[in-house]
Amino acid sequence: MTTILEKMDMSNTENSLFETDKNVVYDIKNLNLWYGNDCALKNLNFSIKENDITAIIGPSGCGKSTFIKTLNRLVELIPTVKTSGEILYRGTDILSKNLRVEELRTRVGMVFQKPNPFPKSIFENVVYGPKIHGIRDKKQLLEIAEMSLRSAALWDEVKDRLYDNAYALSGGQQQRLCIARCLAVQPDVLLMDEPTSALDPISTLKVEELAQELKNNYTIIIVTHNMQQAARISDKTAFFLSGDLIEYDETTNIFSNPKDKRTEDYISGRFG
Amino acid sequence: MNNVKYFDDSAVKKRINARIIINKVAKIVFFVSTLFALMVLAVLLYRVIVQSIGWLDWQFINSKLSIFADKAGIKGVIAGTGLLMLVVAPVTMLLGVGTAIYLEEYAKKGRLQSFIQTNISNLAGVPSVIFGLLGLTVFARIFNLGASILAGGLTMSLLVLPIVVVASQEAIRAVPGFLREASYGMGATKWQTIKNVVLPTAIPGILTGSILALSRAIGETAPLIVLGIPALIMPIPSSIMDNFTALPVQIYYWTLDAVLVAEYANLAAATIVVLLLILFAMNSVAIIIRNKFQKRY
Amino acid sequence: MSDNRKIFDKELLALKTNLLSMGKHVEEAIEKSVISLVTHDTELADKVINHDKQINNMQKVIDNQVINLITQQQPVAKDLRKVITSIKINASLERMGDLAKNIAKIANRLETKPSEAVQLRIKEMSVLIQKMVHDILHAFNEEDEVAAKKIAMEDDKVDNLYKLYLNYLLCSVNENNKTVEFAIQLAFAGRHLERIGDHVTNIAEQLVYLEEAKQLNLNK
Repeated sequence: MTTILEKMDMSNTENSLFETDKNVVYDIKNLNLWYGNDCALKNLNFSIKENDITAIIGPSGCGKSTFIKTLNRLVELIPTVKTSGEILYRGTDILSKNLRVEELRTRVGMVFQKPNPFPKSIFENVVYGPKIHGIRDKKQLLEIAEMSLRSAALWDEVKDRLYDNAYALSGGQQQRLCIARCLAVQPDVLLMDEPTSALDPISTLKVEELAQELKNNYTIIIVTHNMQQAARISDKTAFFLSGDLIEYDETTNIFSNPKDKRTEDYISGRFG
Repeated sequence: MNNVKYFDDSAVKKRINARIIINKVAKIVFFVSTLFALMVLAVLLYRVIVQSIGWLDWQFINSKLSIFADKAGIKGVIAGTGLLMLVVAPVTMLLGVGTAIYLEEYAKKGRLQSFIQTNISNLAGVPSVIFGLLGLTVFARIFNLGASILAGGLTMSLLVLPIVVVASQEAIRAVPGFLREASYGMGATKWQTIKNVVLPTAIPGILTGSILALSRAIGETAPLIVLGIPALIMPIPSSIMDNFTALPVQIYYWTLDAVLVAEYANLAAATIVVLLLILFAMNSVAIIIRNKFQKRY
Repeated sequence: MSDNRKIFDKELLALKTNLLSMGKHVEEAIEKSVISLVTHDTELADKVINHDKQINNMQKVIDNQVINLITQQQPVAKDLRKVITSIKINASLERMGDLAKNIAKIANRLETKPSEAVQLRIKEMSVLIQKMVHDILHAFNEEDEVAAKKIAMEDDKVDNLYKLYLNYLLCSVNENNKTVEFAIQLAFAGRHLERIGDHVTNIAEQLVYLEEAKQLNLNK
């Protein structure tokens, strides 16, 4: 069985069409995905660079949530899913049957649309990841908790009530707790599926700022239906439409002078 | 813009009195149905309580069985029921929760799973007497356990198993999908997710279901009678291999024998009151657990 | 495509209409200012000078329109370019209006008509300029960047005519102070016309940017 941690090539500088200063984290090759007989993703080909914030935009039903969930193989929780093609995560094809998904998901964390902390204390939420991977030492767990909560800009707000129920936090705080929870296993990539849709404007801006700080140490891929958000925080933007990748470029290009008319119509609100 | 008003005030006025009256009548009808049920309950309780006055005291609870009505007590019987529950509770919970976990988390949705599901639901409809026959054949005779607490406990476990399975399944199903997603998203295995997220969240529902199952088991008479549980005078049971008597059986036999000794009817009534009090306490606990955890979400 | 942004599209259209209207006023002002200079019609000149206030007001109105559009509609891509070029064209038109006003002021300052030869040369330049202004407004209406590039190239002709005009004025000057002053004012008038040509080129650059999202320099 191949394990990612053994095979991972951290200095992978694969040939790509963009400026090659940054490493390629994900190389998607001829990816197709079906829900039963419906083709939800059609022959996707592109690559995602390290330490970029890549935004995925597109109208409802275009496949963006489906796509991001293939990157950590969470999409297979749905029973009728079939895929073809390759997704190379730092050189390893994660769609292969030999892959241990539990390892992949430690390297690739996910934050969801609706904040979903467990009905446990704040502390138990943050250390859930480390605990299931076998870390038991209380002192170590506390250190991990503090480090993760600090990275998620939540430590000051909760340091005096680590053992309170997580549901006592506000929506924005719960989402940052979920981010801290992901960071506790020290991942490589952070996937965010519409992370601020359910939050008020101030919490939204806090999470955006957090993402921009985190990108120095992580690669972030964010699905959003808020175009101003994509324009504000991302380096690259991918525009999906009915399962196709229409355009993928620097965000400033997509929003000032897109090459495809469909992209132009979508981002100026004349579509959708 | 359409200026035609399809819906005008006079039409509303015409019907409104009739609608209000029908609304009031509906409320009265439903109240009367409830009243009917309450009245039946009140009549039953009244009869039983009246018959037990003077016979239900501490001496009654603390004495052993005796053919003499004024000396007879249900200490042994309570012990018997208690030990019986001590067998039923773990067996039915382990089997029931395990089945529920398998059906909800592991089984692929398909014909096999529907087949198992249907059969478990059907089990709930099987007359309790049949379980008695099952217990007699398999546990009492083939396993050679006789009329012991273990035999009785195993039989009762099977009887109430569907209740636990269904309640546990509902509780597990009620755990929101996004909690599971969060757990898998961090690299947990299926078992880790079940153990750390699903079960802890489903425990209130599982407990409530189990307590309801136990309440049922405490009161079932037919299976124990078929199994051969007597109402004889015997030593107070101390281990699960001992012979025993249970509360509902004792009530049954005292009621039967009340033809011979009139006072037995009073003893039966007193035992009924004790049984009802135990049931009331168990159901209250179930409700408290449910309410306490309802506020979480 | 759907009409998701009916209101926005209406407002963009209103913005364009306002700019075209302002352009018409500027066209008129240029024409009248040249006539007033060449025929020494001080009444007409005064009209032009007063009319400039209206042009300045229109510029303010259009500027406000643009700010509101940006605030409320968050335009991106081509919509954003439309809005940005509107601001720049607005400024260019206002300057052109000012230049026309300046020509009218010179008409008042001179005591007589200029000589036939000078009149001819001024008319030559102004015919070309007026055509450029008219054509660029048309190109703006049609969003025709090809036409815009062509119009920009005409500015070379304007520059040449202006050089010839200046040379003529220099040659026809003698030491008499009055004549020198006269010539200087006429030179300024020619300069204003030439500047109008430059502004037309600026507008042409904006039209190209609108279409191609590239900033070109069409002024030599």
